[in-house]
Amino acid sequence: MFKSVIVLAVLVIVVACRSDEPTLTTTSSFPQRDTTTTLDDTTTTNPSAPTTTSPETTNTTRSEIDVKITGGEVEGPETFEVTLGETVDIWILSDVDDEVHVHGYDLRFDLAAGGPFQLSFEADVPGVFEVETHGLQEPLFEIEVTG
Amino acid sequence: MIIAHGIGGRSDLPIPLPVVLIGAAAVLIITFLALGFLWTRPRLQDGPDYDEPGAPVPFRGVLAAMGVLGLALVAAQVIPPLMGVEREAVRPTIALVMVWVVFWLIVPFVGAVAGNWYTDLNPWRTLGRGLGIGRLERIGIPSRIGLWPASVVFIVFVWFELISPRSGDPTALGIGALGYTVFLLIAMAAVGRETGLAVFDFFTPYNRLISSISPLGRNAQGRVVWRGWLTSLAVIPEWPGLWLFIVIMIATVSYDGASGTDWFGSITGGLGDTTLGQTSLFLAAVLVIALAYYSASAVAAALSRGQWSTREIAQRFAHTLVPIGLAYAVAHYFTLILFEGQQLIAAVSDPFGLGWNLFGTADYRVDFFVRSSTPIWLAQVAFIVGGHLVGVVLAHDRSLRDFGRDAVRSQYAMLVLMIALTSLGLLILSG
Repeated sequence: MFKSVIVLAVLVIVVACRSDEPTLTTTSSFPQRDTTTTLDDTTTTNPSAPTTTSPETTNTTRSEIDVKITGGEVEGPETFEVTLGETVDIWILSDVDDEVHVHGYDLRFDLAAGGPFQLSFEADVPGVFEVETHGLQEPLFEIEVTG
Repeated sequence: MIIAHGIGGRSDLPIPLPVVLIGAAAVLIITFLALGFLWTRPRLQDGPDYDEPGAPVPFRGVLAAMGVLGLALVAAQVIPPLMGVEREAVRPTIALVMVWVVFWLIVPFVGAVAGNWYTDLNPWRTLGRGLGIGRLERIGIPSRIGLWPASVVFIVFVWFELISPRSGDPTALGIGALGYTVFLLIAMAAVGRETGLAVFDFFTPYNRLISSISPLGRNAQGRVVWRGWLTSLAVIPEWPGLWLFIVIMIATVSYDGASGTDWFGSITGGLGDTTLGQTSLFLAAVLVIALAYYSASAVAAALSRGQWSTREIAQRFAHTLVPIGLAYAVAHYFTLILFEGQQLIAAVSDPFGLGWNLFGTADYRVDFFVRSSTPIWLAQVAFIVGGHLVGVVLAHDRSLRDFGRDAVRSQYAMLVLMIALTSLGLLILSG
């Protein structure tokens, strides 16, 4: 009985997590710095997405996380749910230089002002993991890896 | 979720509803079976029998040295900033793992099975002894002011762990360790070594209470004796403030768990966003559980027809909550111990976070060897239900001693409280 409930829950999450938006892909490994969209620190408008995008078609077990940091405020959900084994793509757009840390998985990468950053990793450990920046007091968001 | 321990980035997934319901059903069944089928004469109220000659405490000197070394490593965290050295904040330094995992969780949890080894580990006792401080014990202080001072220190420590934004800062821990050491040395000098530790070092009563569950104790000569499970818990001294101390124990882990759940966030709104708001919520949690316990005691007192006062009942039944508090804590933190405890392997090679690699283990990564959530959930529910069972047994036994014929009726209030607390524990773990 548990198993069927868990399987059902996982299915619901999988469906919920599959986004219709085009997923951003990059060819090189982390941390990916998209220099084409890097803006000056003084620029007030940030691009909401990098210029080079292509729809994700080959890999269905990916989850995308998108947040934006402006003036110390974080824009985006507090919790992201992904399924065990999925590849998670984190995209962060910040208006200040900072350092991002994915707890548990122990991943760190530098964030430069203006440019969107991508970090990809395989969610192979279940649990709830905080993602925080060095500069902000509160965690950016948490990733709930279920399955 | 709020960063809650100064350490650790992985939290357990919420327990799914069916598992919670099975746990809750087990709690109710246990409670009603206990009412009908448990013994009718008190069995645990006369204390342990320490007649056996016993065995010497193993590795006594090693334990004392480990305690002092641990304290020194934490206190020494103040040195790098004093020398103007920048830390490479890549992994937790040894201080974080030592304080929040080893000292705060592993020591008392192991003590619940193996007996009170904190007696020998306690670095402040060793220091006091070494420095010849507090040879003259002032008698009568513990029975007069009891656990009130320790309760205050307890709240400050937990505030630092769960609420202070600096709980993950090794320098802050170093300063805390130094300050606490000075505080205890003064206390020991003023009222005597054992009295000072018993009254002001809250880890002393904390470890003592939890290790009272253990079947291993020490006789008058300080030798290790098999005394049987739970025999000591029912006869712990009922010092003033005992009940509040145990309430803080339960409130602490309840607050920690609840503050990570979605429903807590939606009830408290933006209050949990600021340090001050979190502090009020934590104190409110202590107050709510204290009121619940005191109310249950008042009902039991009323049922005793004037034989016992509410305060007496609160003290007489406080020990029955220790297994529930411990079970909460173990259910909550055992994965933190299993996973974050491994950080010690990396931390010994780079104890000050300066990029050292003393033993070649600095790059060790945590191995999340339990890859499925189901065993974690089942273990959590088993701990909570087990704690409830032991609590019910202890409360039943105490009722038989204190209320005699009216035992069953008089324990209703405590049983209701225990069911409520256990359900709260399950609710928290279910997110």
